[in-house]
Amino acid sequence: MSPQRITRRDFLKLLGIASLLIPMSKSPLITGEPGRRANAPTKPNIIILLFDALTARHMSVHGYKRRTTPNIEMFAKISTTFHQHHAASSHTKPSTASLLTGVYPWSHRALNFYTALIKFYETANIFGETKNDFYTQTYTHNTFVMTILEQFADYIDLLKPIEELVIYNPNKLPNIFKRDYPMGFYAAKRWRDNYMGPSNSLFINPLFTIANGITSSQSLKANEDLYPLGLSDNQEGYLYKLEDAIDWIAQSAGSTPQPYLGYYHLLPPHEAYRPRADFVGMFSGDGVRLIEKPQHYFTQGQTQKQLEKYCELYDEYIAFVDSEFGRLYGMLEKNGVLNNTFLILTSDHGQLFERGIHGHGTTLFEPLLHIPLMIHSPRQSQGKDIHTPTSITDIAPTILQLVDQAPSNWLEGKPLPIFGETEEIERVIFSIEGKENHKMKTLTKATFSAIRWPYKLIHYRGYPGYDNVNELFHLENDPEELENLAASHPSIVADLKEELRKNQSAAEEKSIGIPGTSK
Amino acid sequence: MQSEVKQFSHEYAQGLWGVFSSAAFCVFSWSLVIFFWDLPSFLLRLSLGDILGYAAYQFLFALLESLTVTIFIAALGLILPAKYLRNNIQASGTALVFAFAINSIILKERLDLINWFINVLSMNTLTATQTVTNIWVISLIILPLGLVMATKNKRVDRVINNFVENLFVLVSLYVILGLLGILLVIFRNVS
Repeated sequence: MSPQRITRRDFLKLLGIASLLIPMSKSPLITGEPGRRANAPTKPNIIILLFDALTARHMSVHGYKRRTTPNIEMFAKISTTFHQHHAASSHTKPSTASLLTGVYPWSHRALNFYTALIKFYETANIFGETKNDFYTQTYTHNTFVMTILEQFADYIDLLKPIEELVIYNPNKLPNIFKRDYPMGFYAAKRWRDNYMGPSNSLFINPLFTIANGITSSQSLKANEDLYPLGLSDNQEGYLYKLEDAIDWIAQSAGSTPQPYLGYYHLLPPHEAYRPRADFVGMFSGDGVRLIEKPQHYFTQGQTQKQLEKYCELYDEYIAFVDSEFGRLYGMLEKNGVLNNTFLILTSDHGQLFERGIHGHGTTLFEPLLHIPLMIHSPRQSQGKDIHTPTSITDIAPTILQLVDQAPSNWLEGKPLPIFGETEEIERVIFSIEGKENHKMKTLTKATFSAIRWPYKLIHYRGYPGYDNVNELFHLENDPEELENLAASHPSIVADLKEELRKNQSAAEEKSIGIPGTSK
Repeated sequence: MQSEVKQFSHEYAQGLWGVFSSAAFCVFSWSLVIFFWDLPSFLLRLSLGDILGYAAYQFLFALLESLTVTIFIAALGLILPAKYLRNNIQASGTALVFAFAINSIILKERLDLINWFINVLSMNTLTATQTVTNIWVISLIILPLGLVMATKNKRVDRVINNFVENLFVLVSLYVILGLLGILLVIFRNVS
């Protein structure tokens, strides 16, 4: 057997890892001293701050032509920025569940709003696994996320209700079906509100509709000077100000028992786009145009002009989010919290303004999957850039690594390379959009993406008229995903499809006991 | 005097059972229509247990809503002068229930109605929206009054009372579904 040679590339890689380890070795996380054990005063806090539907493709910190994120640019200079971070799905519930469990949607099975995660993940998640290490608290504006957090409620010390940080609450009835999330919640909502169709209630629902219309318009009127486009709305009738949640996060950071793990899932810049008055119109008439792309099979028929109008509002909303992030960072820095806190800034999925599509639906183009991830370690003063593709499923294993836990065998994500792991360029990153599937059956009508840098395969399965369709892109040469290489690179398509098949089969065998059924 | 009061209470309670029957008929039927409208998508996504759980919640809510409507009409009957509701609570109460049910359906289906006016009668969007709004406002005011007034007519009164009596079997089934719904919801929330 010939001795292993260290190439120049390996040497540079090792040097890079070593340079990361030196400053981190001062951290109590790396020293390996007894101080790392549970409840030790030196253990750092972890704050995960997630802005919903924030695509990296519209952030100036990632090269977007509009200056949408000046505060986050400053933050990047003292944080580790992951430039190829990817969501596990194109919408909130599956992707957030992946962030919190470290597995892809084909494993946790929270494929759409109705479905809960399978029982196993009620314990196997960042809260369950770190219950002895942290005081845990969460807040979200998003009812979809709330249904996930309710499943983890046994391991969350403070699960702050949505109602506590909103200006107008349409839900005057207390939720008495908390033990049966999300079905009890959904059934009550479907009865009370005209949500996803006419309500099941014949008499009570109109009263709610009329009363809500009157009172919410009063709230909107009272705030119209500051929010001329209306207050932020979570699409469930709750009206809120982002500022209130930001203030609470900053205040509670000082008073919460330490060390703590805070998960804050804030809805802006998710549509409806409602920037504050000082951001409205800031990009109007700046001459920035979207790249015109051909209509896709799943087009909604949006015209280029409509998409540009939506995009302008979205960008203004991002600028507002960025300013609030800057304000939060300032408050956390001022009260000294950051000296002993990992601050993680990320999102759950992106937003699309191209190919006749606005929003986040069936397709898995990069604006939907490419999301920000920045991690500011305690006392970090230098920025670092990681260009290796990473997945939202990597956050849970990273947190487990922070509390010294050996990687659990159920995890599909891997610890992020910032903490001394080798960057795995050959790794395949998956994303899955399968909301039209049965929770306990194999995914037969779904969109999959598999990225093995620099290639990305989007595979459509089971859609009438668009079944077994492949789109292959070279992300380095064609970041806008304009040239489909599937026909000219059949072997790469076959390889990536095989990766999909293998991983889906293995995951579904474990989670729902259906071995090898995926095609 | 005491026996007259007793007699009145008995008749009023009997009449209210009729009102409850018509309320339950409207509420449960609507709830089932929406449930079956949702069912194809549930079959794609949910397990049988979850579908039954969802149905249980809707039956529970429907039972509570039927009771609420009945209590509201009972209270209205006691507040208003006797000649409007109290004297023939079964027919007048039923008329009110149906009038409000029709209004509610118009309110819920207004978008489809607007589209119907646009597509079938070739109205422009503004006119169609205004027309549907006018229909709703008129029906909100006219329909309850008209129906309650109609019950003063003996023939109408008899037709309504016969109809309500024929509902009893169906409503009994609905009530059983509501009670089963309560049990299943309790089970899901304590287990």
